[in-house]
Amino acid sequence: MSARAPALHAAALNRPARAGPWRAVDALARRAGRPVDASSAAVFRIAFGAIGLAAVIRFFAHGWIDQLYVAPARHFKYAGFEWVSAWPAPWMHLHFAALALLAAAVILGIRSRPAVLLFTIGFTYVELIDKTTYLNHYYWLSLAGLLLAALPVHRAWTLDARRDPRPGDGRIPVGAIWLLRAQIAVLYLFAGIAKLNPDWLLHAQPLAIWLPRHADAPLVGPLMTQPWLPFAMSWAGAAFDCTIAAWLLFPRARAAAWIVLAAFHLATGLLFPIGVFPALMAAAALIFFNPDWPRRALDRIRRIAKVEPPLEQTVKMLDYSSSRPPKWPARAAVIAVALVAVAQIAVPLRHHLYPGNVRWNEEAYRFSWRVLLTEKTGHLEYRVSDPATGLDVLVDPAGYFTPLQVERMAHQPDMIQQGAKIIRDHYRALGHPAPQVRADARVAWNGRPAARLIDPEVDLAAQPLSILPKPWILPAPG
Amino acid sequence: MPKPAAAMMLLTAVALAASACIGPPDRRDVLANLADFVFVPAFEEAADAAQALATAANRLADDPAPGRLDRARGQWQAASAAWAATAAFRFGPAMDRRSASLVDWWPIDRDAIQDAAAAGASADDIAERQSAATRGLYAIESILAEDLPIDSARLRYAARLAGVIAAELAAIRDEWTGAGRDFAYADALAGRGGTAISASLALSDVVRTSIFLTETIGDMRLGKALGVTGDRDPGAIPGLGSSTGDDLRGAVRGIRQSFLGTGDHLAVGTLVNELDDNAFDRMQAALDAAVDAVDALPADIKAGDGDDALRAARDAIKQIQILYATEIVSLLGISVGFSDNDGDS
Repeated sequence: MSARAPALHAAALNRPARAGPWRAVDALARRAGRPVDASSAAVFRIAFGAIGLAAVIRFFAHGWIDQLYVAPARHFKYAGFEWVSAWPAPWMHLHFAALALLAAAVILGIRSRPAVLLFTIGFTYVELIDKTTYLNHYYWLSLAGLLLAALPVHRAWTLDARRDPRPGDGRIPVGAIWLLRAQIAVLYLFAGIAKLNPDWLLHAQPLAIWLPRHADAPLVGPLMTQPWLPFAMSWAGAAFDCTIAAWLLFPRARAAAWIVLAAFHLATGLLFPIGVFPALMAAAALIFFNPDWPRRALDRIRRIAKVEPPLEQTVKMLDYSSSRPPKWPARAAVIAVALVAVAQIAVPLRHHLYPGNVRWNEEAYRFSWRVLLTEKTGHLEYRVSDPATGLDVLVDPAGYFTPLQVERMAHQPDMIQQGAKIIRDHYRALGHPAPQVRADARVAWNGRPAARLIDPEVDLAAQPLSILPKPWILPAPG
Repeated sequence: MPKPAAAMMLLTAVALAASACIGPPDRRDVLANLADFVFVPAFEEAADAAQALATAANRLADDPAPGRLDRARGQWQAASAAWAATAAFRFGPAMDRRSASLVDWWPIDRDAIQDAAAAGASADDIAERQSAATRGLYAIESILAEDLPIDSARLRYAARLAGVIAAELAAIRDEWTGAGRDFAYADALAGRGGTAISASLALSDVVRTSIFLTETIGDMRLGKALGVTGDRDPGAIPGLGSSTGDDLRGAVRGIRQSFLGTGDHLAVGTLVNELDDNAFDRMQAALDAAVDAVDALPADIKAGDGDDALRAARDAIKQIQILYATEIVSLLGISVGFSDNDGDS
């Protein structure tokens, strides 16, 4: 199969297997390989690049490169990614500048797939520097970027295709469209499932806390303090997340569903500081429309404007259905997709392997699409002691970490433990041979009174860093 | 439009309008009440007391008689207490002007004070060029604590220090009230006039200042005096003698006033009570306990025999800090840090 041939191709399997375990796989590959118009995938690629570029520009505009990556003396590393570190200035700024150029290349379609792959690697690298900056939609951007890099989204509306038209340009296997849709659906579905909890449904938390904050907003301000509103929005939000992907798949409801989706994200964008998330999802969800919708929309505009179509569109699309690419690459692609699908289902559900309430202990909380789900604020103080030297002192984490890091770590046990080890190392360097570090962490969660999060008797610095359940996390308050 | 639909829309509009009228207190109303009945009166009182201290200090310098020394000491106590009572309200003008370095810097440098007094430092020298450790209320206290006869250069220096403080506090008061200016910070806070500060930002300033103050008192003052947040430092609590601890008492009362207000006027606690009366009750109890605890501090904390009282006061103040930094900021939607980074979980 040539480099430009589809990854999943119908023609590879245009004769069904007669029998055996591969029959279903071959049938699926055959269906997934049906070529369709690539213009909606092109819009997805362009939107991905545009949102990525906007995200990078926001990092520069807000001074976040220095604030989040260069200035902090210490970062909270992810397990297995301790080797990921921020570049010293000005290299971190250059890293972001390179991301901006790559995002622009993705938009324009200049070496689209290498560009999207490099952008995703570079962006993910940044996100892996510090747990403090974890955002669900950045994680989604990384997953979508990897997916885009694996799919032939360079087939339409790229400068490459315009300069050097190839057979197959303008078409893409329908399986690629399915995968992009699935990547969106998985976010909404798990975000919806996460909302099916008593706090959200029975107590309208945290919206009962968040909405009154906008009581001073013009026009809608008085509405925000209405006691029924958090309940209405909680139930509507859960219903939206759980079902929006299905509505988008249903052709008759699709347009209305997308309008609801756009309105939903517009509202959340106005109410909450969630950055590019609303624009990202509203743009990405366009992939649920028929694959040729952008081309048809463009044709309509051209007809109205009486403009001739460009040369690119006159290039004849070749039909691959007569060729016969080998079976095994298509089968391998189906198996790879299946494995990724299993992983994407398992990762958000992995919290069931941990005792206690995930929204309290935050074990397996990240990478689970728990979007705008919990209001938590904490107060953290460490007690450092060393029986050998008589040291016994209370330590404010603000002396070691930035305000944002302190705010985030105050209610996240794994970060509290990492902080304890950093402080332990500091006191060791000061000449205390065996410092013990305990934490007094009080956390208010979804409107409950503040309660202790960590057993204050446990020397956190002596506990192993691991992804196993942490017995020193105290049970959630009722 | 069909009649039932129009009727439903009308009913909804009426319900919304009615609920808006009887709804919870507006943040802006709370800020206006705090500005008019707590913050401005506190800064007015501090400015008046500082002026009275300057007058008394000048009279003492002119004629260092025992009665005038007693009078100056009394005015110093009043000025110190009035300034301490503003500690929880020192955002806005007092923050922008960095007034603390002129008014109540601690610790002081006695040798540098003597040098400045002997050199006859002018008011401009004091305000513009001298180290913060040579000026402020505690520098004056160090001179007034002496027995007569007091070196006349030192008395003149104390009078000039008091004049600088009085001018600074008058400037803060005028910025709040807008006297002789186009802009009154109190009006901006209350949303009156053309230049209003965002209610959310203003409320954040009010709350953050209280949190910062509890942190300062708990960790930098009481914590260090006890030796629990670093090496034991008996001099961590400002003040030289019987006044030691007065600024803590004033500060804690200010935190309480900011939350509970005065009389029936609205305050931060009004908003909290509307959202969660249980949290309000616990905060009120914590504030009362903290006031009792700082009142129970011994007169001269540096004597070292009041550790139990210090510890009780620190615990009580930390309790306020924890409640503020967890439940109250959560209820009010205030970020304790200063980051504008996104969040989506």
